[in-house]
Amino acid sequence: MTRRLTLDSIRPGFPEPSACPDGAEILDRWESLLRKVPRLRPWVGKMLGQQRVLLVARLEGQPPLVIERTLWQELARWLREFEALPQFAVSAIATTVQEGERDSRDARALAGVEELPVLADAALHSPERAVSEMEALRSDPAFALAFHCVEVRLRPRLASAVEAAPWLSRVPEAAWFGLLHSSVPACPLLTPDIAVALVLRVFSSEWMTLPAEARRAALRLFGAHPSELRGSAQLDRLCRSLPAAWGVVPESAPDFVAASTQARLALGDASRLCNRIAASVTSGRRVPRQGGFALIEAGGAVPAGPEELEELSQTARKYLGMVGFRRLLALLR
Amino acid sequence: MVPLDVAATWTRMLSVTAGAPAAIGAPGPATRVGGKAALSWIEGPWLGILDFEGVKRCEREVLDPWLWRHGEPLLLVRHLLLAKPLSDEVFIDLTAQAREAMPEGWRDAPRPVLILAPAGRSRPERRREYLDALSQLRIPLVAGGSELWGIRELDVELLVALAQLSNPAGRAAFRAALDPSQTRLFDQQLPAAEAAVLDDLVGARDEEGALAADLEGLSSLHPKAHPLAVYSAVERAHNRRRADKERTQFSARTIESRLSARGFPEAADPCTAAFAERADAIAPLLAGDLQRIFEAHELLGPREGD
Repeated sequence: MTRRLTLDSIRPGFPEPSACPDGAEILDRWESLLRKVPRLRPWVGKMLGQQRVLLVARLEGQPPLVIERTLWQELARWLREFEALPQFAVSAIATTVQEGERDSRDARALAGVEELPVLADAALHSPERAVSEMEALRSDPAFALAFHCVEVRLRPRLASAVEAAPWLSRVPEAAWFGLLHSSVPACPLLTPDIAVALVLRVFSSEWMTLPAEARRAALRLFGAHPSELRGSAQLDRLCRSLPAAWGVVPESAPDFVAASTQARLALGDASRLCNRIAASVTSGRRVPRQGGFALIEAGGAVPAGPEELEELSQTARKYLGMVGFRRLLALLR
Repeated sequence: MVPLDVAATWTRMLSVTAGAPAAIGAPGPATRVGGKAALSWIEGPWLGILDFEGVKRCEREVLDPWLWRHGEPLLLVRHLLLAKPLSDEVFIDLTAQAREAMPEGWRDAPRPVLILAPAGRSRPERRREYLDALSQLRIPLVAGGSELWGIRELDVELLVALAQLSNPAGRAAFRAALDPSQTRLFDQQLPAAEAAVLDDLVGARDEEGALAADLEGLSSLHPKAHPLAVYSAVERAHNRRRADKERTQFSARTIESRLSARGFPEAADPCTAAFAERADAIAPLLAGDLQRIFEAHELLGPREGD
């Protein structure tokens, strides 16, 4: 039997009844909706809580009743939107919302308390939104360029490192990208290095789902010098802190460190290539710089050579759907 | 009004919401250290000081009203009380809203101070000016000394753009100039970008790296030491390992760490067996990492509760 919805049952965060003359009617309609899709219930409470925090910050100085009234308006709007949807759509949304929350809770439990901000952020992004953000990002010439640099300088070198030690294929590409991203010095401006790092970040979301201890241990090993591995009493513990699926043991750690060195060198190459092509776009041109190129600081690099530009054209042909490449090539013409 | 490059601003917004930082540096109140926010070391909000030196007048004209009406309350809820922005002189004068919002007795005890400086626009000697000016102040708020002072550098152009886009007319004009297929995404991204920038100002989105890993490690060994103090020691140990060129131009993000640029090369003792044993209990460390954390530990000095 479905529990009857009363004001008390969703009381946390629910607005003050006296702030809305239609409050009782809105409540009745919510009750009717939540009886059909009870999985929406926690979502309503959570959204009200979030809205209240935002409103308190935005409407500071306003009488509390204004905040309560605004919350009622929000509740009424969500209700209208849900009521306008077919029943199956409401149920599907409710299931997605509930699963998203459960996944997020599970991941947090696995990863430990300190994971909260990052995982919460990842869980709140809907796949549709992530796709549209990614598409928008890829439509920018500067990011298409960074993508190209990862594609032609980093990926092939990583592949060679794995070829030299095939067991390394157990370490996912997202982990290498995550490790490389963490090794790039942070900068609050858009530089070629940061553009490349952002591409790495976007492709390393899986890395962030690892427990913090495993990530830290991986970072330590990733940054190690080969000489540090010889006779280290800590190496065994460090390897045991890594994800078991990677299969890194003290005997194979030198391969991991060698591949890490290759990956870092490749990242340097990718950033330098990004710099040179950015310099080709931004130097001595009369057309205004576009998108990321209006921000990107090319750092005085020499412009790219013809073979590097040809390589770019090849990547653009490979990824015909990426609008950013078309724009980038137009800028270089 | 500041003329905005629509494509550039849109790219920057997307990059920031996709995870690129808009502000970086010393820990802020929301930076997580050892699984908890840096705020939890000393009860109460931190003091934030925006440095407007290097910020153009037209940009200030956009930022000032936005901060007053919009940004400051949102930083307040992020546990950052603002002083009036600096221009040439370095001094502390709380804003009217901060005075009203500060907890009772907040001004009568040492507090962490976060200077928010525009990235790429400050003079190299500006950091020394912060240090000299704050050291000369005889007020309880800064009595904790430079180990409670830090610097975060921010993308001021993005902040100006967001301030301008909070104005409905500015937003409508910007929206109209966008590719129509992206206007809906823009509506979603604008609040997300604003929240990301404000979060970055207080360190809520700080990411891991070698420095953050050492901060975690050393903080575990000195759980009572304030994250800003630990960070300054860690940063200084990292700076010792930079190439000469980088070291002379380095932008230390704690004032303590800035001092270390004066007397290079610094001599460091080798890690002791006793320290190795202590560190061993916290996490497995290879020789290079262990030596670096040992140096940071030495720089931090003996602490209560060690």
